Amino acid sequence: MMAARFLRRALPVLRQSRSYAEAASGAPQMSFTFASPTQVFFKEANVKQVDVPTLTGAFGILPAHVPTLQVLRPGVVTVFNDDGSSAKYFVSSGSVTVNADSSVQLLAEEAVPLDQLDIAAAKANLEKAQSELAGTSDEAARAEAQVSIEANEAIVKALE
Amino acid sequence: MITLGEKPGVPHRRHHADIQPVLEATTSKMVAYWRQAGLSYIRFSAICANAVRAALKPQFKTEAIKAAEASVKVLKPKTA
Repeated sequence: MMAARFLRRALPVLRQSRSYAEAASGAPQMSFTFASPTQVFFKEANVKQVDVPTLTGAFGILPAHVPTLQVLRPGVVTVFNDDGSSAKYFVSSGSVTVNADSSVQLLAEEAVPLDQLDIAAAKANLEKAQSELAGTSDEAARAEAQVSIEANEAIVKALE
Repeated sequence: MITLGEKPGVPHRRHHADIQPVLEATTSKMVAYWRQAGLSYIRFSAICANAVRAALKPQFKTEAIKAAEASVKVLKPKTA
């Protein structure tokens, strides 16, 4: 405390210079990690925006997004790169974490680029699941069939 | 490969996935239909992942299915 007072008296000219370098360097960057158990798509990459489908709705994550934890639903993840290009992936389920330091971890149980999906197969599976739903009365089995229907519907919607 | 309950003589501890969630009447939060029917998110996730793998083009499908079944093996021990 004494030293600070001494310094202040002794060096009145020395002003504490406020550094705006942090703000001037531009918006905070998002460190984006996106992986499935078998593949890493992005590892601590700098991207502009990521759109994710969650159980509570789809939302876009920009740098400095409020921290949140969400679980994913079947849907399309769109990654917008700094140069304006975008890449789309279909995720089945998993979680997304946005941290206070703007790092984002998107961990999917199954994630594939859109062009690896076959719309005809998805439509066929959708019909099969719908007929399964009609044929069962057990609540748990019905719920499982309904989950499969919604997943296949999401795939068909993503590919159309 | 993870196997559960394999060692004889070691008591199988109930892990969180077994326990049914208790629905409390205090909040009006919307419960997902699958949760209401007794499914856990893990089961929901597995069904969705299977649906995605089943919709892959043939050249990617076999590899994805093989990779998926290699990671976790679940064995339910017979309770005496």
